[in-house]
Amino acid sequence: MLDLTTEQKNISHLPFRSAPLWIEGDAGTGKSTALIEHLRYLLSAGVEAYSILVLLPDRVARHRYRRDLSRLVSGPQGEVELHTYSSLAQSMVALFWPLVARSAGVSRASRPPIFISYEAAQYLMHRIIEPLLELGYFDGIHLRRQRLVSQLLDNLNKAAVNGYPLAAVESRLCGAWLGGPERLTHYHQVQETINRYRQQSLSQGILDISLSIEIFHQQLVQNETFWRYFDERYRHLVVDNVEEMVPVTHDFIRKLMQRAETTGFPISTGAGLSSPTLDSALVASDRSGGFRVFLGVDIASARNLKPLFPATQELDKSFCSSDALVALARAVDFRLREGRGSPDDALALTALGEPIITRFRAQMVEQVADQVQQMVHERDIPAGEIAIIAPYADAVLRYFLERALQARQIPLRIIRRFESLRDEPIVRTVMTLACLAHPYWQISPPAFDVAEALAMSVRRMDRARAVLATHEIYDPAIPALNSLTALRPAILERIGYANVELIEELVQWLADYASRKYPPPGVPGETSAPRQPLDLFFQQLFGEILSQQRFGLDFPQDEARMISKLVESAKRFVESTRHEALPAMDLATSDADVGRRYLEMIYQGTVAAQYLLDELPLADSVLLVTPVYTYLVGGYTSGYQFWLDVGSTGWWEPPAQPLTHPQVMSRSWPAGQPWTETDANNSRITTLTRLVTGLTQRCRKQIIVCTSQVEIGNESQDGPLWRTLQGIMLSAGSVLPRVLGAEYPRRGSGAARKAGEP
Amino acid sequence: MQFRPAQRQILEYSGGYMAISAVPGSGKTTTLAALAAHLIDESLPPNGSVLVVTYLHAAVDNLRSRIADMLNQRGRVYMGCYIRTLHSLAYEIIHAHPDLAGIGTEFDVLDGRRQREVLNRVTQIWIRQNQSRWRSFLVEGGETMPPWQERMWRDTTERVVATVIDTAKNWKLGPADIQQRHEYSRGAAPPQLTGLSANSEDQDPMPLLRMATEIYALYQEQLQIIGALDFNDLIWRSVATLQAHPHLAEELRRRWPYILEDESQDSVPLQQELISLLAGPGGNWVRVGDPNQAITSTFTAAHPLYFRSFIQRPDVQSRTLPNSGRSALKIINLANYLVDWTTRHHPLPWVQRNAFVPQEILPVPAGDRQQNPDDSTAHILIKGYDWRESGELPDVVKRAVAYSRAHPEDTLAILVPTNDLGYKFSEALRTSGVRYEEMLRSSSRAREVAELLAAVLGYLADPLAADQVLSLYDALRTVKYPGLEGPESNVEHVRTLLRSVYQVESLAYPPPGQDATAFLPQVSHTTQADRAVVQALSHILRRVMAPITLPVDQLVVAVAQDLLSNEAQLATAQRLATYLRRLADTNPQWRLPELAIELSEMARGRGAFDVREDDGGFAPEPGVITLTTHHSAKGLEWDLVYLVGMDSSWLPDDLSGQFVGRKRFLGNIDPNEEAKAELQTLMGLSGWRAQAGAGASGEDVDFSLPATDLAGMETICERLRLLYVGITRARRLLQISWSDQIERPNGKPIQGGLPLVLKVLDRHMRQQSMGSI
Repeated sequence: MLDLTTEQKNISHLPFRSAPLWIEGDAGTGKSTALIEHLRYLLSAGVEAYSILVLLPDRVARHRYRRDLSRLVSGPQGEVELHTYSSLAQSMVALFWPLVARSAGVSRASRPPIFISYEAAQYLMHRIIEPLLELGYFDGIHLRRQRLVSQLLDNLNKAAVNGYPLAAVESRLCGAWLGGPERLTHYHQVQETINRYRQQSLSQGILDISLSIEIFHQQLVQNETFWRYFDERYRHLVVDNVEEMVPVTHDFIRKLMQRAETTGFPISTGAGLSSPTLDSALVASDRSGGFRVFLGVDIASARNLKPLFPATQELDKSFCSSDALVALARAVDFRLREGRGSPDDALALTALGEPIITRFRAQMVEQVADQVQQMVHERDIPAGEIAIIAPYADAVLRYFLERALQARQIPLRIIRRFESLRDEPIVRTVMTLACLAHPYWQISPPAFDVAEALAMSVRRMDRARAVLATHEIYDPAIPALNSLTALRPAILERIGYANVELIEELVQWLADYASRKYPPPGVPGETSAPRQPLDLFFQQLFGEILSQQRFGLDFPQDEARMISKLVESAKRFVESTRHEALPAMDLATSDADVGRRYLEMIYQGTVAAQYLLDELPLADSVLLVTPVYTYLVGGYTSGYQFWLDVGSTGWWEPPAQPLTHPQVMSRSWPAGQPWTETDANNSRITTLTRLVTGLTQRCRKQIIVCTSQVEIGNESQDGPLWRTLQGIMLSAGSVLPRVLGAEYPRRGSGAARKAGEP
Repeated sequence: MQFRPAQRQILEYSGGYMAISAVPGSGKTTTLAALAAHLIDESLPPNGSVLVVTYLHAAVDNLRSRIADMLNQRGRVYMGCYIRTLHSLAYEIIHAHPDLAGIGTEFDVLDGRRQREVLNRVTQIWIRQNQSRWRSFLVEGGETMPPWQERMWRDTTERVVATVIDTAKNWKLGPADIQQRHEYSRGAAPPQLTGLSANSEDQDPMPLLRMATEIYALYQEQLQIIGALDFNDLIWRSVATLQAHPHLAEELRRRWPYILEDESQDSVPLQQELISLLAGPGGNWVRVGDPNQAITSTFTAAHPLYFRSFIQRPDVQSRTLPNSGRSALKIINLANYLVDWTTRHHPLPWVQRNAFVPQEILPVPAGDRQQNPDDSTAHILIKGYDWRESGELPDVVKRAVAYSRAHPEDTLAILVPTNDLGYKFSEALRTSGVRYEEMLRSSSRAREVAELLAAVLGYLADPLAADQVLSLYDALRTVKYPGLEGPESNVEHVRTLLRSVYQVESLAYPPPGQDATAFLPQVSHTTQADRAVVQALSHILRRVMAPITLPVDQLVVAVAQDLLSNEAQLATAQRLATYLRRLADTNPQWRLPELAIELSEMARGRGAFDVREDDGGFAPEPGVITLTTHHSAKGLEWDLVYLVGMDSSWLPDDLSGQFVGRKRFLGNIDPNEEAKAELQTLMGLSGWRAQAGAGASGEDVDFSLPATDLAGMETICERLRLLYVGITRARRLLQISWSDQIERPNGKPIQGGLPLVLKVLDRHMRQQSMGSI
């Protein structure tokens, strides 16, 4: 049993028939812990797991709950339903399909729905826009294809999660637009494209996330048959982080509460009373959360739920944040809004360690690594107590951090978002090997890719020898590797016998795979080629070759998980394209061909892995490197936080999205109201304040801000966060340290100074 | 920090418009930096920044470190300052507000080379489609021109179009604007035009402009297709955006409540308009410049008169920085005399009026921290030769080499008027074996960065090729990467060793228990130092290989951060990285080998990265001869300066003869200038011509000069300013040389000779009884 505060006990031991309870507190006040304890309490009191619905904001949270529940509850617990709103929508739509299909406008309502993954949705959109681009649609926008596709899909999702008709997208975007007329044309094209996409989906019975949510929200939730089922099935509702949920989720919760109210709440002391609706409902909200505005999250609509709850429990005691850290968040907020210092400045200063200020970014990384080393090796602070947080953990920063920390024997985990699968070397490697194992695809990878694949597979072999081996065994005209047995001994010696042995094993494995025969897929005359889904190929390649210890001492955990994600992504793509939708998507009928399509999509950069890797629990001994949003929504806390690139405007500038608009597309934005520069600025300040508050609430001891002075990219490093923090430091009388590396020995052409001027 | 009275007066600035006219070496950058630090420390609202605008990338770096120093002296860390070149500022304004600017977020900006490529393409297309019209310009009196002249006309056409586009964009005129006006005014012949007319039946009074405008339209179409803007578009778009959206201008004024502008004499009207919009009426705008050092007006839309007239505006506080501690008195006197004589006695009234403002350089006051060099150690010599190639060139090189050996503690430079002459000096210096640093167009530092990165990518693409390793070694030495230095003789030996290395893979990755040097050919005279160099190289090879799996842009940035430590170089690397990423995105089938080739093409291609855009961070090193052009010498100083090639083909006395840079085509007309004048006449534009005329009351100045002659006058003025810049680079010793004859490879020699201005300066010096070196 955990040590809980009185407030937490009020939650965890809430009688299982009681009035709905609204729980509110900052991050780190133990809301989730109390909710999980409550679940345990319910289960141990004999409540059937089947009757509990847990609604969570995302897959990462689901993963965390599943892990914690299995840790807490021993014995057969049944299945507590852990849902995100979209997974709930999908499962309910699947269940009630005959009831809603026709009214939703699906052409072939008698057939079961086909739920498609995000990958398949991207593919479908890709196919829809291709002929339109030929016609000159979106001329002058110059977006990478993948970003174009994702912004179009984003509009579909935004309409769905805000609960307004798809047809309103164009008028919303146009109504807020203040610029030139070209963009209005583009918005019109957006509307036309997403209409076509939706038509296609309806005519084929294909349901992506946006359509599932729309049908659930607009059809099912209005239907009494659904509610009869729901009342029967679910008696207990637990919602965590309601502020990270979209407006239609809030509508759903509101509906639940209003139904409960009309039928009378069960009284908390009145055991034995029953209600036709829920026996209990606990909804928890983080006061300072709501980070995922770009995904349609709406804080205002979450706050509006509170009055519907007859009981409230506030949690105030933070297990994390100190007074100084709370003061820091307040001081930043005040200074950003008022433009002057606040009485909190002095206390806020004590939350900050000595800042690291260097001339170049590479020097900043070295300084951070030095300080981490000193903390871990001299002050015995566990590496797991330290987090390195940056607005974007771009590849260069990751590369330098990894190198610097490994050189100092600091174990680290880098968590990141994946922009494009094509940019991942391990993905390229398995793709290259897939081509070589499927020669009938007739995709010959470039020799450069083959050398990379060899070096990535045989971990101890250097790149130069991988190139040498590739020269000897690969002819780009033929998509296959030759055996090394025929090579001259001198060449074998240069490649290195240990390497030769492993490469040969890989070559043989690929050749075997290429010649393996699988049960004929129903396509006569093509039984000689492997007809196995691509995901299974990935699994076998990983299991039988790449993960074997002889190929590399330890296969990096990140890459292993990357492969498992790839397997999952390929599988979902393969599965969701297996049905009647295939002709619509112009896919061939065999799994292997679908696999090739998938692969081509990745090569073209069409597919991005949109989700984060599910996070594993971190060991105490592992330092965490993460982008700021990942840290905030991933439920991490740390003793010490290093804020890197604190001068970057990435702390508050949203990414440019010319074809959609997170705020304007949200329900709380009045349709037709123009989006001005003042709105944009207010929105930036709010974002930055929320980030800082979120971070300080997840920190226990100290924050060390780090910056370099020379521009990164074209971006100067004196953004609003750094300037605000400097203001706090100066007004609190702190003396800023000298810039490290200002007298950096300049190689090359000497000082950039005009000689002799006074 | 101790400031002179004139500087202190500037530091008292509290707001409004201010113009500072600064003489060479007067510490204007220091003053600007001090003013920025002062404003940041004392007047800046917490969410605002001081915007510092300059015209050269190189200056950004310099200004930043100066301001950082000034802030450090005030106990603060660098902040609150936003330093940009005007182009990057404009880029950021529209990039941050693509919605308001009416463009896509991922628009492309054409650099000089790509702009020329597009221009070349559309010009060729137009010529193909309009053969007879194009040729009609070449027919004079029924005679068809020979092929060489046709080739020349092709080049000239492109130049004319470039000029018209540049001028039109600076006046915010699109091709449709010009065409419309042209249609309207057809039939009415414009006044004052000599009229280079096409001999066609079409009686168009402005055929040249019509042609250029049609190509301009094609050019714009092409930019639209590839989603690109050129440099002028950047400024124009941002001006238009700010005008159309006053709330954005207001917002930016809040963000940048103070604007400091450096090198204002190089500003063009459109740029001035942009800054003026940012400053706003009654805003805070400080401009620093030296009208006498305006040296870009013959190849850009800049003209010193714009800054001169700004200084005279009634709403502008005018200040000067007259004291310079750079040069000895003799040299200051010579520069002052040049200005004085030109403004009072130059035979051409136009030149009298327009070449210089009468502004005297004063030595620093007594007790100043930086004192002028002792005048007794100063000498000036004006020297003539018969032949440039066989006389002036070898003699100057011989003298420079001898001086650098005798006085390794001094800095010295040879300043050439053109890159072509620079290459010849470069060849002679190379043969002499002396240490010298070349800052000519073909050896730009930006290019060195491109070469280094191309060599790295080349090695990564093929790590088994010995010549790739060799290229990387050479490129690393060019940027003076530590650990690879050594006497020139050893370098050649190391190169030989690398060339004949066997098992190149073992150079970077020697098998366990072995050393990279074990794979070198066993030559007896290989020294320990040579082996150390190879080991250092082996280490670098491994180091650059480590990030190979990153996406190409990140790879380039990571390698650059590892190998380079100069801000300007890193900025260049960043630009190259972005460009490569774009290439990789548009060509998904490309890998490092293809990208490496592309990058090395860029490194080789002249003009891909303009020296003036990218060169920065240069400081003369004692004992090493600097070889550079007058243009690139701006802002620098040396103990001894040789100004070579100063004959009358470079410094013409008047318009009577042919001179360098005077573009004449059919019938002594400069089509460039004609087309520009046609455009200005057609659109009723008042450029600097009108302003130059404005002050000409009652004097014998002919403002009805044909455009070609006017351009010639302007060239004469700018050459005099270049001479002024050259003279004021010298601290103590100065030699100005000229020749009678200049050889040409095929053809009769060009006549040089002593220009009038040197004759006058020489006489002045003799009167002052000066000695010689």
